[in-house]
Amino acid sequence: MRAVWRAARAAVRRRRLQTLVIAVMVAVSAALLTLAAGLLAAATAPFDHAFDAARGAHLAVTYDARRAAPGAVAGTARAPGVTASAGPFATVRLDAVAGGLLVAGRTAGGGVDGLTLTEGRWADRPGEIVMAAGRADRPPPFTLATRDGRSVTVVGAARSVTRTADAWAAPGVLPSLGPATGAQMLYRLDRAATVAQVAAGRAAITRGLAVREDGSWLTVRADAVQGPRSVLPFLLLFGALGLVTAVLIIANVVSGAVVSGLRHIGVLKALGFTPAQVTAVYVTMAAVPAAAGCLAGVAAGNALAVVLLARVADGLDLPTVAGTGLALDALAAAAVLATVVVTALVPAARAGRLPAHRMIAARPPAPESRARRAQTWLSGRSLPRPVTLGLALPLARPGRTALTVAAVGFGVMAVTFAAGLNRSVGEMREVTDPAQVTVRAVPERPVPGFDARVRALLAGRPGTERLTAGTRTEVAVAGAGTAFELAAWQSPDLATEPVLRGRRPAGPGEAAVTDAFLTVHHHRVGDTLTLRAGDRTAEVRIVGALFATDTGRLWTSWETLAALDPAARPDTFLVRLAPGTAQTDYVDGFARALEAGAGLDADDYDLAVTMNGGHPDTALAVLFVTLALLISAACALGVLNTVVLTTRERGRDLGVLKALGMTPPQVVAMTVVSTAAIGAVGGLLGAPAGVALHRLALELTARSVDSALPGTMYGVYPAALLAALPAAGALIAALGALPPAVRAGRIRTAAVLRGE
Amino acid sequence: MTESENAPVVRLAGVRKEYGGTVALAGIDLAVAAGEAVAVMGPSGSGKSTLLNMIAGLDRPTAGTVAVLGEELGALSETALARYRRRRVGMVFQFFHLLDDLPVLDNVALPAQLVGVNRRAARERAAGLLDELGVAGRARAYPSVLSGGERQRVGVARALMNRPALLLADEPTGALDSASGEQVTDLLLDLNQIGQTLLLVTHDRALAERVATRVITVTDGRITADRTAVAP
Ligand SMILES: Nc1ncnc2c1ncn2[C@@H]1O[C@H](COP(=O)(O)OP(=O)(O)OP(=O)(O)O)[C@@H](O)[C@H]1O
Ligand SMILES: [Mg+2]
Repeated sequence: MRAVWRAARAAVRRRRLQTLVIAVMVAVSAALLTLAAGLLAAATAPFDHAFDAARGAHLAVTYDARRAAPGAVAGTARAPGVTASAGPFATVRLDAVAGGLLVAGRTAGGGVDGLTLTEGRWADRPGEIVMAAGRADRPPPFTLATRDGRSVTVVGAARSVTRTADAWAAPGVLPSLGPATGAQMLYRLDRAATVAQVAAGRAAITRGLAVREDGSWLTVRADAVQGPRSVLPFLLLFGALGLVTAVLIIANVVSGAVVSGLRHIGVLKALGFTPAQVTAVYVTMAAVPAAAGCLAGVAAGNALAVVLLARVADGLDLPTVAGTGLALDALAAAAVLATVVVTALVPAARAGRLPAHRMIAARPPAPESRARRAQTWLSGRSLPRPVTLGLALPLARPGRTALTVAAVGFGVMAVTFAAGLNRSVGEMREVTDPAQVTVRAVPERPVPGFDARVRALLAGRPGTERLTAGTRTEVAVAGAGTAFELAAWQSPDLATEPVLRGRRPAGPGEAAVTDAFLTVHHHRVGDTLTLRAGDRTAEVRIVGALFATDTGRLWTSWETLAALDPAARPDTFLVRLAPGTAQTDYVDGFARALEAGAGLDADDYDLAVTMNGGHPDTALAVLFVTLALLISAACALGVLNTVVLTTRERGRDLGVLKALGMTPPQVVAMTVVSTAAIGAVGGLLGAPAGVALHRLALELTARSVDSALPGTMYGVYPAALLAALPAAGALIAALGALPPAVRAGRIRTAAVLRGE
Repeated sequence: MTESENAPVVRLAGVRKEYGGTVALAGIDLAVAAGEAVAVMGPSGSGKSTLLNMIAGLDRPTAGTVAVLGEELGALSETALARYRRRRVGMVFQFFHLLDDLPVLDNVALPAQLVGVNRRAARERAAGLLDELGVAGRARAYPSVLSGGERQRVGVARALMNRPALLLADEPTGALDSASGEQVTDLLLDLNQIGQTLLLVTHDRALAERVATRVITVTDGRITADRTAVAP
């Protein structure tokens, strides 16, 4: 074994460059693999994972602090069916200008519904709070105005998997925020799989106590699964693509290293090494730098995953725990090392069995006759000799060339896929959110002309480009269910989701549904539905199917909605902002103007302002770009490695060609041409594969949301881009080939030829 | 020979070559006239191959100058050196150094194609050379199936492809059995007799005596003997 180790060490030392390349390549691939695995883990059942990890609360109940006795509240922890509980936590309702917040007095962590601080620090001084992650539109710290003219400082953001409150502060801080009106208890139940089980648990726990509000994890779960559902297939496929690419590249690099050492193997055997020892030398030679690279790569991948996945989780409201976790890291490292050992073992074992004289007898194994035929064919073309020589080079090692083609192909595929996804996700957000600001202003008591005043105020704000008003009301659809949200807009173009089939409702008696509604309830465009609100009913004809990622929505004309619900007034306003208007500024300005100048009393209405889009797009875009860059970098390095190996093996031939008068630029041209050819082939295969993968991702998305997707999400590849992508493959490959090609152009001919 | 009074094809002045601490050439002055057949002899490691490489422009001297046909090699860029090699010198190697992936005919035609001769013309000339050297029958074969003697004749044909002013050979018979070695020796002799200037490194005294018009002995990087052979 000592001999094996020593020979391996000598081999490593003699091939510094190659050893370094192995280490770097494995590091990049391992980082890619770790990130991809983290992505896969985050994308599969994210809510359930996060819920288990944070020991989410199945049931959260806020008791009325004035009417429920503290002892009795605390006593509910021992109610039947409760397996764990936390609380009571005092709660305060904070009336911020932009909407009400439930603030609970807690510290970070906790045995039930553990809170994770995601930004800033915990609120432990008077007047400070920590907001639920994803609720704030800007990073802490910032101040928030309350309706009664005070201000609180948001010093951090925290994630609660069960969203038991909107904000938190340390228990000692709470009195500074206002009088405690509630006492919150969080419960984990032994049976909480269905709505009925949670309701039974709630009944057993709250028995007779005054409850202000409560929440079931099932509601949060349904909600949490809804949003990310449309992007999860993207993340899954991207993760899988990263995994495959990483494995391929490791295989390419490691087997290449072993193959290029064949002659050295012959010498070892001549010295009396057994086949098994020879195999061991080569596996060790590859495994040592690979292990070093693997550790570095997994650590880097983990760090990347922590940053990127947290951003994506925030953006999508994915309640994941940040990072990849130790178990996953260990798994990724094991997978990388296993790939290294297996891919080293196959050629090393074959080499171990080869008779020694065949390997010492100089030169690489004779090329395939196919290569020779190609060479003959190429030499008949009227291309410069270095070019035809270069073009034939890849055929001398079909196995390695195939792996390189695959690596470049996957690189181009990843870039194509990422570009397409980014644009599709952008389209999806664009089509579902044509307005950037939604204002919901609901009067608490009848205020005559309230909607007209809000409307006039919005219309007069600087930055308002277009404006429409509408409302929603809950209706039952005969034969389909009771809780549908029926929306109507006064001018539908700004608000409504894109049309998948038919058209938008335009006049009385017309309605549109989601595509999923048609699928689930076996209806077709042209069918008639009976809508009921209270004791009124209306017959509507389905005139179209619209795209929305949630299912319980219907649209109709303003007249039809007014007939069903005569009291309905426009209470939701959609604003399309003029280009260059910052959402935050617009919203702040509007809130202040409403406070100040509209002749409205803050107690008269409930206001909620939402900003649409923004955060998620950039987070996803960053993730896509990072992954695509990592994959392409790994591919370019893979190409570089191949060219290093090829030029080393071909050192003698290059020396001969130079002795015969081939100039250094011609040597570079020959090498680069051969690699660019590989790259072009990879690009030609990879670009359509990327488009196909993109299509698959959209199909999966469509299936997961039970709806067709708007055509604009598919047509994201302009012809020019598609034509450019194979060229990009050739370019990436050529760039990867350039450094070793230049080195090859500079080789000392005399020294190479002496070596024989 | 009468040409020996003409302007030299090769002129070395004070050429030194060091590799790290090793002195391979310790000051060489040498002139080779057109039509000469110079054999370089000497013990292993004395600097013979290094000397040949200096003249071939494959390596650059640490000090001193090398001029071939009046062209100062030290002044040439790498690319210009490559061009010089393709037009002025033909090289024959001990281990042949044929490209395994090309058939014999293309191996021979390659130098002409590098200077831009079109493929048909290059192949025609290559076929003619192979014929002259007695290996026309192997034109379509790949080097790996040829015997050593055949390979070396192909190597010589390749070296002659661009009608070089100077043919350099480093132990051309070193890897051949005596019969094949003899054939190659005859070939070189014939070439010299039709005017080809020849510089060959050899350990083979018989070869030197049969072919060379002049024998130089190199010891420890210096020329220690230089005598014109008695014409046979
Ligand atoms: N590229 C090189 N790097 C380092 N040392 C070299 C190099 N080329 C030659 N040498 C050294 O220079 C000296 C002369 O070498 P050279 O090859 O010219 O000898 P030679 O006379 O041709 O020997 P042989 O008869 O064995 O071929 C030797 O000591 C050799 O080790
Ligand atoms: Mg020598």
